[in-house]
Amino acid sequence: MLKRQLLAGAWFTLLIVFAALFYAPSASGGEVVTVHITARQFAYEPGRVVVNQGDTVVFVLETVDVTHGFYIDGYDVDVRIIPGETQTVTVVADTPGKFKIRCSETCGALHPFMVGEFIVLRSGVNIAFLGAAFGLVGVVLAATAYVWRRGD
Amino acid sequence: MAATRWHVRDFFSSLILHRGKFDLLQIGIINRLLKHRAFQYAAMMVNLFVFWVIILSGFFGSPVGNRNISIVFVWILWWFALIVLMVPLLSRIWCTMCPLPAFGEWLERRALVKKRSAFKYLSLRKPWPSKLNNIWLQNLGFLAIATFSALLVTRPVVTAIVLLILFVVPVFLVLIYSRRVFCRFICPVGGFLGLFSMFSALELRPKDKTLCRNHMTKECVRGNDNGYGCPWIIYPGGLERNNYCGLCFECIKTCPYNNLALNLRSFGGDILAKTGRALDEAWKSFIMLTLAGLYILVMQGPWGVLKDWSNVFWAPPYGWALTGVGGFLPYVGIFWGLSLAVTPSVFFLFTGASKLASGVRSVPLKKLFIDFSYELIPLALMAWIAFSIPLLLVNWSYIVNALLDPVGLGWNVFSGLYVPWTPLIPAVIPYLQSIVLAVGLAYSIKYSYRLAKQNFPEGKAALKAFLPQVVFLTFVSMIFLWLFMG
Repeated sequence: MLKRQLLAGAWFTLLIVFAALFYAPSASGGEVVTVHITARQFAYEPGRVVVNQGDTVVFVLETVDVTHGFYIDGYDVDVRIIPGETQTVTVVADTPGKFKIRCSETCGALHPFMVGEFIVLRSGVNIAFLGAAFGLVGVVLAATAYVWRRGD
Repeated sequence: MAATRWHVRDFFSSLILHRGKFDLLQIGIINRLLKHRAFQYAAMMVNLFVFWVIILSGFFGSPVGNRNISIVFVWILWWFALIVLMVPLLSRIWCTMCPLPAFGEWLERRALVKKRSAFKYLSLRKPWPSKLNNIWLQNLGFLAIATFSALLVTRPVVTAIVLLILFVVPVFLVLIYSRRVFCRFICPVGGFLGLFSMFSALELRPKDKTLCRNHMTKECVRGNDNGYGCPWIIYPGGLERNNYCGLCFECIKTCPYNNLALNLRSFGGDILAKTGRALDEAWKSFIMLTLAGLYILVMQGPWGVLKDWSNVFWAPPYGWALTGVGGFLPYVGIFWGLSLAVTPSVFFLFTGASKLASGVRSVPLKKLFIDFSYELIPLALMAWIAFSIPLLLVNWSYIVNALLDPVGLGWNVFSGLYVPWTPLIPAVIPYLQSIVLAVGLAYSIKYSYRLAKQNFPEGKAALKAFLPQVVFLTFVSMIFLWLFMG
């Protein structure tokens, strides 16, 4: 009986994952959001930028030490931030999920690890994480049911 | 042709379909290659050359890590190849070709390739202290090196110094203790290679253990004209796990009955092996699982303060001023505390819950704690693979440029050719990491249940004991998933 429940749970979870991934409620975004980012060795402040899908995000970029880069995974953004200058870059947050912001200019020892995060929510929810979390629960239920059914 | 088809079918059958094992020594060229005395020597020589280029480049090349071959080759290319390809597929094949013990081994044997028939080892041949006959030194050594990893993986000179030390130490150890005591008991890489090789799809095993038991002269231990006795101080005729077999293939050369097989097998074949389980290996699992999370958090996370703490020496732009001790001490505390105390304690609580849930009192809690710790191996390995994926996909262009200008001093060997930094499918990386994590979780769940069945063979006790473990594994996986996608 429990085996059936676990299997049913696995299928139900997978169903939710697909529903979560493909369900597209109207984006709550659409606003213009200005984000001031200060780059320094070896971090961006703030490190995590959270916006809603559909927002137009205006990044105002400055550096307090050496030249840094500002590259966002999955978004066509790669600009150089030079000391003493302010750079502005505008991004339409059209794809939900978590995207790393990376330094694209060699800036010192920990340069390859200088990252930030650009998180685009759909209806206030990180839909990619939620879908993956449900997927992981589905894996747990399916694997549990599988090994139990097979015994040893 | 038919024989080749047969090999291919058996190969995939053993690896993918989990049906039986396939002995790679059946393939003539592999058999001849591994029995040839020059094979290991040649492999070590190639890496010896590369490592010395790396060391020299570390000392005399550019101080900028991503422009120096010592950082780019070791901490991007070698690390990725080791953890993503070599360990899961080929067990400790890195130990076959690792150049670190080369000088000591050649000195002790007074030979490079040939097996000398009558000679005296250049070593005092003292016995290794029995209290250190475990991997605790490797556990602590790895933690110590990991604590300084922000320096190690970004400063070429630090990498060069550490490699130089790792070249010198085995020579002294060989002169006192002989053979590969460094690889077996000290090498900080060897500890986790041994643990993760339990999951590997390759194993070296005796074909017929009875034959080995009844064979009085034990050439695999003592050596003969064809090869040396096992340098790793194990009895190849009794091999049941990969952990401490460094795949030097001396036993293949010395066995007069060709009684050894190099098997392809399903992943995780050693996790259920009951022999050799101990607390030192359990703690290795906790350390590896915890450090995977901490590395992702510190190196690939957006929290600048953690990077500042980890980066004990730093001053712009590439200087050496000691400015970070105030943060480094709590960082050390977090690293060591989480790895050695917090993770094991939480796991202990879940193991206690497993015992309570099973309703069986006769199984000692310590045994259960040790046994269940082996379920963490697939998850920890996959977490490290997930950590390593962006290292290569994001930084691959550094490898190409380092090849063109190995020391980063502007010697571009193909003048004008330069590959700009271009991450490969960066937006897909979190999804790849999540899939890899899910594979590790599924394997961990599979082995968790089987470990429960080993301890509770009767009735439904195994299932009841298994469920708290599933909760723990899911909890840990969710933390990793949040780091990747949350």
